[in-house]
Amino acid sequence: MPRVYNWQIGREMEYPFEAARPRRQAAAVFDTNKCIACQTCTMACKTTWTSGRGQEYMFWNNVETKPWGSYPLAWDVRVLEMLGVQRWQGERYVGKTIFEAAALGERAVGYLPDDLDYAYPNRGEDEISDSALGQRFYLRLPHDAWFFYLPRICNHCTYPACLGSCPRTAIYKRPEDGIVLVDQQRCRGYRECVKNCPYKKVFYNHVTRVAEKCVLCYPAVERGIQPRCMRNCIGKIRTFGFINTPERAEPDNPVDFLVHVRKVALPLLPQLGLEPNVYYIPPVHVGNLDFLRMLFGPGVDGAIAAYRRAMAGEDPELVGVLLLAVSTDRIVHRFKVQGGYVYGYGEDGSELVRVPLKEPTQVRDFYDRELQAYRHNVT
Amino acid sequence: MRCSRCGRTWHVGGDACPYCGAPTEGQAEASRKEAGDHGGTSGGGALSRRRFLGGLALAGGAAGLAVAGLAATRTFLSQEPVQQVPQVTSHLVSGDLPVEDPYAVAWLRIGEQRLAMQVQNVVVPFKTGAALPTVSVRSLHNGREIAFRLEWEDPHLDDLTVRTDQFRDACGVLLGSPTAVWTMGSPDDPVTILHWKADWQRDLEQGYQDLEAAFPNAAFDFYPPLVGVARPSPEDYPPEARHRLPGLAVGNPLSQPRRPSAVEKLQAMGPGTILTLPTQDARGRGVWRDGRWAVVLTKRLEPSDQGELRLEPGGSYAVAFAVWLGSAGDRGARKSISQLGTLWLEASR
Repeated sequence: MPRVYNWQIGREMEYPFEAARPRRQAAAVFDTNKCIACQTCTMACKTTWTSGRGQEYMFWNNVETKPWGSYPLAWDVRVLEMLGVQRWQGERYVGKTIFEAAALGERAVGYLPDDLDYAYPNRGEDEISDSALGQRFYLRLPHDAWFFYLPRICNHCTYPACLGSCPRTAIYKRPEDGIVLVDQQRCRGYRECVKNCPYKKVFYNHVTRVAEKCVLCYPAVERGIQPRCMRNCIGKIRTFGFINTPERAEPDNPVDFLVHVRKVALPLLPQLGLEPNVYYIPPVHVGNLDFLRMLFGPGVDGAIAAYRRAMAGEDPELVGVLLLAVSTDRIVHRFKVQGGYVYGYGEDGSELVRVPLKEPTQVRDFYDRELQAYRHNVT
Repeated sequence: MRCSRCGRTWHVGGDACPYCGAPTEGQAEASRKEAGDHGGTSGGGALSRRRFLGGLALAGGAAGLAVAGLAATRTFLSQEPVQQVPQVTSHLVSGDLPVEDPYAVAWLRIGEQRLAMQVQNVVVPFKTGAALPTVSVRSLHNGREIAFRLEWEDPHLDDLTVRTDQFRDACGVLLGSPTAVWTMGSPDDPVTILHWKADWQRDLEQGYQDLEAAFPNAAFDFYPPLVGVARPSPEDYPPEARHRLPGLAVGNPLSQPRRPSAVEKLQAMGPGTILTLPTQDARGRGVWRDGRWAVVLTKRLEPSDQGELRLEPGGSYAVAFAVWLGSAGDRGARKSISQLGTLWLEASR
C-alpha cells in the first residue's frame, strides 16, 4: 500500500491510494459543550435528504449520548475492539490504523452492521456514565457522573475508508472542496464501504440497493452557503468552513484558528487513521479524561485548558470565533475580533456578519413610574 | 412429466417438480410407461446411484435417461472427474435453446464438465472462507445464440438484497478473445460477462422486492410527496420526486424496478471496471431445489454493442466461470472462480 502523511497521528501511514489532498477541504467544528441534543440538525438533514423509501433508518446526521449511546449499535467500541490496543507516544500514534491492521485480502478493519444494529438510533440517550446514587455524586467540575452529546455526520475524511474500500472506485473525493460522495450511477451495492467506514456513515438503501451517504449539502456549499445541519443548529455549536494542513494554517480562518492555532478542536478517533475533517471541542465537565483521550486523542487536556481560559474571559479571540458559529447562513472564511465585536468575512472579503462579544444589556428599574406598574422582567 | 400443482412440464423424471417442488405421486408409473414407449432400458424408482450412472453410460440417449425416474434430477450433477482448467465445448443444436428450463432434456443430452473452483484472492477484497468446491458446466449453441448451464451446490437460497446484510446468490460467465490472458480483461482486450442474479430473477417472477419483502411490518406515515399511498412502489414516485430514490433517478441498473432479464450483460477491462452494456438482450433462468442451483445464461453470438465479444461457430474463445454464495457474504470480488480456460463452438455435427 502507498504511504501517506496523516498530521493527526503525526506520522506516515498506509492507505490504499496515493495521497491527493483536495485544493481545499471543507471542515466543521462542533462544540460539544453547547450541544443540547435537540436533534434539529438530525431532522433538518432527514427532511432534506433521507425521506425517501428505503432511507427510513438512515441518519446521515445523528446526535448520540456518550458514553452509552451509539448509532448504529456500538459502532465505536466494536471497531476499537477489532483494532486492539491503541498507543500514543506524545502526539504520535504508534499503534495500527484500520488500514495497517487489515487482514490479508482486506482493505481495512471493519464490520458490516445488521438491521438490529440500526434499530435503536437513540439508545443510551441521557444515560449518565455512572450511578448517581453513590456518595461521591455532588456538583463539582469535572463531574463524577457525566454524559455529553456527540453530534455526528460524515467526516469527509482526507483518507476515507469508504473510498479506499470501494472495489470499483464508485466513491470519490471532490478536488474542489474535499466532499466525499458515492456515485449513484456507478455503485453496485457491494457494501464494502458500509463495512469499512469505522464511523458507519455510509448506508445501504433498501429500495435502490446501493450505498448512500452525507453529501455535506454540496449544492449549498457550492454557492457559499453552509450545510443544512449547520445552519439549523439551535445551540449554535457548529462552525463550518475550510481547513488547511497545520503548516499552512491561517490564523484568521475560523476553522484553522480553532484546530491549529488554539488547538481547542480535535478529530474524532484520530487513531483510526482517516484524518477526519469534523472536529470536536471536548466537553469540559467530563470526569473521565481517559475516555475523552480515547475518543479525541492526546490533545484533550490542552483543548480543555484552552476552552476554560476562554470561558474565564482570558481569550476574547477564541470567544469571538465561537460566537460566529451559526451567526450567518453564509460560509465564513475570515474573522477579526476588534472593539468588542467579532466580524465574519466571506470569500471575497465582504463582511457577512458582526456579533458583539458581550450581548448588550439594559437593566431597568423594577418599578415603572410612568405606567405606575411593577415590571416582570427588568433586563 | 406434468406437475399436478403448477401444471408445468419437464422432461426428466424425479420425485418432485423442479419448478414448485410439489411431489409427483402417481407419476412414477407414467414415467416408466413413457420410457417403455421410447424403447429405453427399464429401471424403476429403486435404482441405485451407481447402477443409474452405469445405465447412463449404456443408454447414451435422452430417452434412456428419462427412465431414471426418481433419482434423475438429483443425479443431473454428474460425478465426472474434476478439471482444473475449463475446456468447454458448446454443442451445436437446431431450434431454440432451452433458456427457461435448466432441466430440459437438451441439456442432458450433452456432456458436462465439473470444474474446480478457487477463492478469488488476486484482487482485494478476497473471498473469505472456503471456495465453492466445484461447478458443473454445459453449453449449447444454435448458430444464433449461445447458452451455458451452470450447476452448483448451495444449501442456502439467497434471492433478496433488501437488508444491509443480505447478499444474493449469483453466477457469471466471462467470455474473452482467444488472446485474453487475465480474468477480467484489459483496456486493449475487453471481456464480455453474463451475470445472473437470484434477486433479479425474484424481482421478475414476483414483482420488485421492495421494503416489505424484508420488513413485513414496516410502518410509515407517508413518503413525500406520496400522501395517502399505502406501500408505494418506486414507480409511484412522479418524475419530479424521483430524486428521493437517487439510484433510480440516475439510472443505476441495480435500482430499476423493471428489468428485461435476470441476466445482466457487462463489459470489463480489468478488475473493478465492469460496465452494464447498453443493449440488455442476455437471457436466462435459474432453478433452486434440493440445495442446488441450476442456471441457464444465454447471449446472442452477434454482438449488440460496441466492445461486446463476437462469437462464431468453429471459433475458440477464453472462458471462465464464477459463483457467488450470498449466505457466505460473497459480492463483487468476493467470489469463487474457475481458472481461465477455452470455449470452443462446435461448427457442425
